[in-house]
Amino acid sequence: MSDSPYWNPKTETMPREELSALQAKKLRAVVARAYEKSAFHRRLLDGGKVRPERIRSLADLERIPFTTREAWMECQGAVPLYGDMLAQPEHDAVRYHMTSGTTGRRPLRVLDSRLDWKWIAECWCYGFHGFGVRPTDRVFFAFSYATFIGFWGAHYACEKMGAMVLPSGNMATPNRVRVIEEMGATVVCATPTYALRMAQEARELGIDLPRGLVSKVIVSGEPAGSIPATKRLIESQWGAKVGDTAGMTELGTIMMFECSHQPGGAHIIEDHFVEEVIDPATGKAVGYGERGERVVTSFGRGMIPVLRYRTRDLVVKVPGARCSCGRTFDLYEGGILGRVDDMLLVRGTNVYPRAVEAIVREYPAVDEFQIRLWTDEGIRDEIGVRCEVRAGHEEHWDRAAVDLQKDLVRNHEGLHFHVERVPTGSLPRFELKAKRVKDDRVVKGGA
Amino acid sequence: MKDLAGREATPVERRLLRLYDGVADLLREEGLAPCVAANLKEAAAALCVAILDLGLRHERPDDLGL
Ligand SMILES: [Zn+2]
Repeated sequence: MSDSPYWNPKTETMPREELSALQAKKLRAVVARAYEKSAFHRRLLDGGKVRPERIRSLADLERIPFTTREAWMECQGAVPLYGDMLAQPEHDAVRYHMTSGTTGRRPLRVLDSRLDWKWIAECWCYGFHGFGVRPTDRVFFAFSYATFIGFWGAHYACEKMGAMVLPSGNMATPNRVRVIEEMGATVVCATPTYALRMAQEARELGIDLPRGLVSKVIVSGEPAGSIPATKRLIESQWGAKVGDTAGMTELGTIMMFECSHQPGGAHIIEDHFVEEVIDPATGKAVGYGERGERVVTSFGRGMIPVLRYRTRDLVVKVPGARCSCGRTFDLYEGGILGRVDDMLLVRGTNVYPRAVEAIVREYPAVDEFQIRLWTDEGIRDEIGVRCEVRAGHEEHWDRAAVDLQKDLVRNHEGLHFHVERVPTGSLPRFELKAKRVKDDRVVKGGA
Repeated sequence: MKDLAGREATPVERRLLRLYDGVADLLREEGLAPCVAANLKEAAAALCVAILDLGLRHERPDDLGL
């Protein structure tokens, strides 16, 4: 076996014209199969008057109607459990998963076959190998292994690569930190928030993580994995490099990963996905360097085809040449920049939670935080950041609070932010997707 | 034989395809013992992923129940 820095040297360094030709052939095959085997997709394509045999190039992609989460939910609501979207018989499935789901929303249910699972793990291999994980590594998963798909594929990827997996299932945080130390883990996988939570626990247990063996922390599940200040914080608390990845239950796996050159963004796995970026309001494509919504088409998942799925993730695509690693795969600069639906309108000013986090994480005195919105005097929007102060930083807090407040105001067109200290341990901690916005407003967007 | 990107397949790629076709053929045999059928399916799925990675073919072997 070669010691290539690329998991798949052939496609990861393929010239763009050849890569486009490869994608066009795969697209045609995936559309034809979805049309033939999945009633949901046949309706979708018929609705857009798209004949599969007319899909010849990537330019034809935009003729295919979008798929949305709402349509997926409706389909599964009308025909429980999986809707009529399966392209293979249910008995080919070897596993069931579902989205974590939020209040009032029906979770999405997914099934995957044996081949799907091999492919799901494969996409994670691109990312883990690309970030430098090798068979000699011992990889700890801070992951509960339940119906949420999370790091399941990464677990299998590590086994496939020949690395040693250290699962942690339902272990409590102190136990997880002890196992990482005792077993000599060299790689740790967690959400960015939980990586910070474990570092805090390690300090309380007197375990010096930066002097330990962990050299890589691979994060997923939250946009924070590419926020420079959050990343630096995790890196300093673990004494390790932080690599970002992103995926979704609807895909079963990751579609982008940060390579070991860490160019400030993540490469799209373009031999297994086509990623478009559109203006969420008009549905029209936006160019390199422009912020828009990701729309994904998967070439790999067999039981549930994914055609032009609107992810609601905000991204900025830039050419792969921006990175020095030699991959031709395009990058999402800064990773996932947030969600289309995340934007908060506060007294006429747009506030993105990710942007607030990017500012707050510049302050080492802040250990955990929460963005709180409320209505004052029955009509006026107010926004504040509640902060827990990191042990040992108490004396810096007063100064930090003033500076943080000024920074937040400066970055939000003069919008006033309250900054408040709250007792240690009073804010929620998260293992999976962090929810740091508490919106108690009676009227949203009030003057 | 050319791959999906239009490149001539390498000798290793041709061998990989032959290997996969052999496993898939065997899997279509009637009356395989459960231990043989299950492990052949595992092997076929793994080889299929390598073929998809290299862009050698795009058809999914739907008749094999993978
Ligand atoms: Zn790179």
